[in-house]
Parts: sequence; structure tokens; C-alpha cells
Amino acid sequence: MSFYRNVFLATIISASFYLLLKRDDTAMLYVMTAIVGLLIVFSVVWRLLESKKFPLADEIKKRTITWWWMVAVFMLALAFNRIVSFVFLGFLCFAALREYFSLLPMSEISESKTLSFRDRPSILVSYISVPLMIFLAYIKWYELFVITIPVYIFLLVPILFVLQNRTEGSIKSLGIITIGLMFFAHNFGHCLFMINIGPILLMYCFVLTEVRDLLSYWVGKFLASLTENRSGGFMKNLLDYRVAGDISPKKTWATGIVSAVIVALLSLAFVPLMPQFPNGRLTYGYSLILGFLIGVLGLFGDLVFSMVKRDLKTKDSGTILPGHGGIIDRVDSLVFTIPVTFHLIYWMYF
Amino acid sequence: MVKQFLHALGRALVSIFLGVENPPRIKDMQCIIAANHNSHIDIMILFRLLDISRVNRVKTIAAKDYFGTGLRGYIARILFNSVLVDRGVSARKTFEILKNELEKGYSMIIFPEGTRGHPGIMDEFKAGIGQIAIDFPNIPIYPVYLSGAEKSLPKGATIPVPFCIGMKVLDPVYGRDYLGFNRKEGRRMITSEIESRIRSQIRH
Repeated sequence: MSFYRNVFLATIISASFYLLLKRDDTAMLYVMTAIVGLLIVFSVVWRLLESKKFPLADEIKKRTITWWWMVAVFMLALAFNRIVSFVFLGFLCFAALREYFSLLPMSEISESKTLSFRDRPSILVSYISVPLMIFLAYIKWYELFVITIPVYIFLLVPILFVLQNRTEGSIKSLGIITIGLMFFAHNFGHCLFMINIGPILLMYCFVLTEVRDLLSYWVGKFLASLTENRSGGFMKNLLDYRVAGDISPKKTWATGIVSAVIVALLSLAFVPLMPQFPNGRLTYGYSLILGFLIGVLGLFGDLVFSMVKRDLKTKDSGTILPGHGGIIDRVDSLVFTIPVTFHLIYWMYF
Repeated sequence: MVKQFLHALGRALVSIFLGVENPPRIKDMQCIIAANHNSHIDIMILFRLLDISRVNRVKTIAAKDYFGTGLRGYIARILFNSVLVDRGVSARKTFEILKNELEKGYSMIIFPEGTRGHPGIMDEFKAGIGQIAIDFPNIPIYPVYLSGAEKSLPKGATIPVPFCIGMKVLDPVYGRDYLGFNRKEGRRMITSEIESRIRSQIRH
């Protein structure tokens, strides 16, 4: 079984490489080769760790295997053609939105922290806004694309509430629904318009954000090991300064800033691969700023959804990705980094 | 053939829109699936526990007054092999019908609550499931916990709204483990065992 699975995985990956070669997309080929190379390194590492009975080996194994599948599907979707990329990313938005709405229990009485059964029509409207966003991004209608959700859908939802003749719990339900819309259909949905600029920009954002997630774990471990033997003092206090201790005791400002600096430096590798924008090419200086912002926003994206999950007393948002949790656990930082990167690029170069 | 195709299509739609993960299939030649009932979607999801080639070897039970006529009844009878049961008649007669189907070798999907009830609230199980277990002691009964279906399509709603639906298949219960008790006692114990296994999965 696992053999056939690996063959299937290899087929998907080589098919996407072939498609990229045929399209002559050198930039994407470089990035994809780097990612696949990194995954091969990780696969070798977990086999080594497993043979040495290292306690983290199982966790790394599970995560790496899931990463292989996510990368393979993502690569194929981006390499295939424009429609497939749009549908794939749109489905990702939909799945994240669905997971968000499913996190909350639903009841007939209007309690805090629960949705009401009368919210279902508005939730359906939220889902329908995703294909609408796909369509608007596909026909490249930028002006409407950026206002559809914050203006039209945002106003449609309370109108629906009024038509349902609701009173009790309406403000709470409105809050829950519209924040889901903004996070996953609008902010995360910006990845749809990024394909129009070029898949490489999407990779810039995705890769740097995900690398930051991985990196912050190891940077955190490294910084903790530096202060392990010290009993106090200025250095230890500085490194122990937490962003939000109640949400996540492990996330310190020091880790966040060091990771953001590393991400900013890594972002420089993408600069020569970037296409020609109407107002020139991405400069090294601007990429440093973007990379640093991705680092900082990624940290906050992570923390915001930790906060939400803590409020709802769940650890993972789902079980769909073994070793990672749900889709929201994977895309939480992207919700924050994608729209900012997109708008900063658009503002400077278009 | 058409039926298998429709089932495959239904399974694909359920996976895409409701995020139901592909469950491990039940391999027993004959089995009974007992699940909590909240929504019309439940039956479609429970069919996924069996291979698609087996959809003709499963029977479900439906109330005659609700599923007897119209499109709803047609779908229930053609796609989900529903055996129509009158709500009015005695429990014994209903039981005879079930027994008949099980003796012919069919598997069964049963909702021991009897009805969808209030969304999200699990009613007490009816003892009929325990009776079946005692009469067919070697057929495994798989308790299945379904969650989230009541959000997608609660009682009274007509349009399904996508929500993640969870399905958890629990260890089977066999009637043969309860043959030492007297009939009434055994029936009650099996029913409460199945109910408590499902109830233990509810997350608050």
C-alpha cells in the first residue's frame, strides 16, 4: 500500500515538473526544486532519527509525509493551468471557512460561543462568496475583487438577519460570521488574485510564511538552550519576554524577531526570480521589508488563531492533515501575510 | 450499475462539500450499523462504511408515513433500500420484518433513537437493537458516532449547508456476550452498552 502511495506521489511531482518545464517557468522550477530537495533532506533525517530512537522522530515523520502530499498537490495545481489553480486555491479558502464555522457548536438557544441554527443561511452566503471571488479574480476585475466582501457581502449578512426577523443573539452571530468572511474569504482569498500577478509571488508568500512557522520552533529551542544554565540577569529576562503568555507561553519576542530577520534574509533569494512588474522589478531593499513583515505577521497570525482555539477549548482545528491538525492550523499565518504582501506589492509596483 | 454510480457520486459530493474523511471499511460479511440520528445526510455517510459493491446487500428502515410517497420515498427505496415500517403497528410486527431481512443475509443500518429528534441532542435508544442482538448473537453491531450533520441539514431545513462532519466507528458489540443473562436483562444491557459507547464520544 505504502509503495503504491509513494509511486503515486512521485508521479504527481514529476508530472508537475514536466508541466513547469513545458511552460518554461524557470522561476517556479527553481523554487519547486528547492522545496522538493528540502523534503528529501527531511525524509532522510527522520529515517536516521527513527533508527536512533529519537523521541521526536515520529512527529517529524508524520509531518514530513503530510508535507510531501501538500507540496505535491499544491505543485500540480499551480503547474497545471490557470483554471485548476483558481479552483484549487478557492477550494482551500472554502475548506478553511468550513472548518472555522464547524469549530463552533450550534444550538437553538442563543448562548455565547455558539452559533444558532438560524445562522445557516448567512453561512451559506459566506460559502457562496468564495466562487464569486474566484470568478472576479479570474476575470481580473481588481476593483470589485477587493471590495466584494468588505462592502457587499458584509452588508448582505445583516440584511439577511433582518429578513429573518431576529433579535436575540444577532450581534454575536454577526460578529462570528463576518470575521470568518474577512479572514478566510477576503484575506486568505487574496491568494486568488496573486495568481494573476504570477504564481511565483504566491510561492514567495507561502514559502516564507511556512518556513517561518518551521523556523520559529527551532529558533525558540535554540534560544531556550542559550539561557538554560543561567539563573537570571538581563539576557535571560530579555529572551523570556513573551508576546502573550496566556495564549502561548513559548512564543517570545526574541524568537519572533530573530525568525523574522532570518525570513527577511531568505526572501532575498526570491528577488532574482521575480517577474517584471509594470513599475519595475522587486528591489532587494523592499524585499527585506516585506520579508520582515511576513515574519512578524506570521507570528501574530499564529497567535490569533491560538487565541481563538483557546477560547473554544480545542487544541487543533481539525484532523484532516495528520501531524498538523486542521487546515486552519496550517493557513493561520497565511491569513495575515497574504493580503499585506499582496497590497504592498500592488501599491509599489502597479 | 446506475445505483453504484449514484452512490459513488454521492460519496464524492459528501467528501468535497462536507469534508467527510474516507473511513476504514467494515469487512464483515453481515453487520449491523447503529448510529445516532440527526439528519437525512446521516444515511449517505453511513453507507460509506461499506464497499460500493455491497450497496445492494444493505437494508435501512424508514417510517411509512414519511418515506412512503413522493420523491423522498422514491430515493429512500431505490438508493438506500429502505424497508418501510408503519409507526402505528406493534413493535413485534416491525421486529418480524427486520428479522426477515437479517435472515436473508442483508446487513442493516439502524438508528436506535428511532427519529431525528431535536438537532444536536441524542435521545435515549430504543431497546429493539438489543432484541436484534440477542436473536442474531453472531452478527457484529458497530456503534457509530456522527457529529456535525445536524448543522448541515437539521430537521425542517431543505438546503444543506457545508459543515465538517465527523464519523467515528467504535468497537463492535456482539449479542453472544450477553446470552448468559435473561432475555429482558440482556436486551437492556446491550442497548445501554451501545448507547453509552456512542455517548462517550460526545465532546462538550
